[in-house]
Amino acid sequence: MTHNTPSRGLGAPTIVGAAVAVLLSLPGIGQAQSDPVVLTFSTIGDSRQDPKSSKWDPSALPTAQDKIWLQATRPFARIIRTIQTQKPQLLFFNGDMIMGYGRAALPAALPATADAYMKTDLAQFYTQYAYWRGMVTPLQETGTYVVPVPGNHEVQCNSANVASGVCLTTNGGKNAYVENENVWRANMGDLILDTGRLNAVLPSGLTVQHADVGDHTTLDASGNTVRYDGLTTSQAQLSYSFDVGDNHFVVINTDPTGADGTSPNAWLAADLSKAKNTNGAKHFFVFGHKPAYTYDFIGNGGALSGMDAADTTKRDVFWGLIEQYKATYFCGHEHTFNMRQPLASGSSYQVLVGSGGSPFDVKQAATAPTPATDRYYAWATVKVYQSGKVQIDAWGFNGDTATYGPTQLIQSVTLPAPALP
Amino acid sequence: MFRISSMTAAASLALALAAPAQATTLLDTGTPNGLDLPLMLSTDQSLAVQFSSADSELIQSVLSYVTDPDGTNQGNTFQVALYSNAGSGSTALPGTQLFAADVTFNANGWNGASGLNWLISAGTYWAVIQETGASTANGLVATANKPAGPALAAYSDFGTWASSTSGYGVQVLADPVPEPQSLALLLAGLGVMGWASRRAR
Repeated sequence: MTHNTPSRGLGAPTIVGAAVAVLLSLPGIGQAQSDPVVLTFSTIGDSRQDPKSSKWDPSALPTAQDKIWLQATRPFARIIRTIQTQKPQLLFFNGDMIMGYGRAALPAALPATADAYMKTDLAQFYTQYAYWRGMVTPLQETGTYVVPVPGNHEVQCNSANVASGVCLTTNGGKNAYVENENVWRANMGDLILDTGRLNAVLPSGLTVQHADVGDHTTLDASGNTVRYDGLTTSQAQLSYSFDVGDNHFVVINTDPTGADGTSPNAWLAADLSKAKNTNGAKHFFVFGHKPAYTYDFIGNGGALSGMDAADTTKRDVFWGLIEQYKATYFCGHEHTFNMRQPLASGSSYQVLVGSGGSPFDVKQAATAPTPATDRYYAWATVKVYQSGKVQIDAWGFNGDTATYGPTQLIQSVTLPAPALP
Repeated sequence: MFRISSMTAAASLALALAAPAQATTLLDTGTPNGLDLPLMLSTDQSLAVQFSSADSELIQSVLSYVTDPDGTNQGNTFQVALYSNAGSGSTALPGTQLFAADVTFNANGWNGASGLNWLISAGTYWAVIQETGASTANGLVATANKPAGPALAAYSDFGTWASSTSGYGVQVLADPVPEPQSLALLLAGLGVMGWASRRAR
């Protein structure tokens, strides 16, 4: 029962009339009802846990539970249930949902014991995927469709983690393998893309369209069918796209086998062009694991870890596409939060939401990190309005207190409606 | 003879006793200074500020300073509530909910509920801003006041309360509850009015 009018008791003074109900009128306050939100999605990444204390954050000791399942259960659970209250129709998870980082191939010889069997990389991949799927299921059962994005821990093998000779030691010992890509599809493929399930959570009048989840091929000069970007393994369900209304969503694998650390630019260019010129998309949202521009947080010392670490020429082509289509790029990989326009001359934002629970990259110094949100668990919730305006709200909470901090609005950006053609 | 002058005197006596004393401000954090990040309101997270009352009071209004960053909540509802106090000193936290009322969000700034008539005895309480499953607001934030003063502040994580270093904008206004002796005099005055009226007829 709403009580917004004063009571009229015997002699009761009009407290409310004289009270402090100061209504601050703001321009356009009536606009809310005439410009409703047509679609809401959230995005975050990096919920995996290290098996032991992280060299980056010695204070982040995994619990006994998390040592087994290698998931940052406590912060990720808090993030999930808070995102649930925001009721987005989609959640894009930008990779590193598992520790992985092994080679998910059949062992050369059958292990002698069940325990040894379960400790193989292949079994561990499946186990860790299953735990993560269990954690996000409450979202899926309450109206939010989870869209997975592959991260380096899903597709790469770290030679330091495996026996000698199992994985390549080039490229810093971190290389993607087709076995890992296949296991990704085995564990995430049912979500990429269940159009019936996705349509069920979308607002009335919106359906998913133009889903492109298969391998991406084109014809070369000789008329032969080849993969885009010269890739050697199928990128089906690793890089993919779909539309909801006039919103185009693209997921890219930033560590395809043989081209680690790069974006599939040729496919992306063709995909964006088709979305805009053939299918009439007006908003472009791209999701990938590695940032295009490494966030050089205090203490990072200029070390590069994004696409800029692998190939700045390809990175520049990638970002040129983002700017050309006035897209927004959401990513993770660095375990921190940062939202900015990388180019002073550009307009597109890179939204780095890589603090989904993994140990923070920003070290916990004696003094508070600057900014404090460098050690916030954070995600972005994006609202697309009927007018075409897009609001990106970054939410998060302080991960350094025993009980965590309250959830706060840590940054907000409004993208204007696309210009009329 | 009791005529109009007598009735007037009796009426004046009754009304003078009936008219309550000046309204009491039990809590006024003032407009938040915004020196900390705005705090999310959701079914997951409630926000609270502690206050005390030296006497029995009839709480009439509870207001909170909230904003709508996305401009989508005009006409949507959240709640203000009154909780008991649990614990003491700096470790005190909200206890059980005593009263709650829906608030319709009108515009950025002070939004609240009035005409509440929540009767409390002397003691310590918490004014709470919250959303329930029936609330329609989504995305409202409470502008922060840092440091959390003049009262203790707390936030909840699905019902588990913890102290907050940020405060929020909350105002609690009340009427004092008439003393029993005053009520007796009021009734006496009304009785005189009735007797005077019958005499006049």
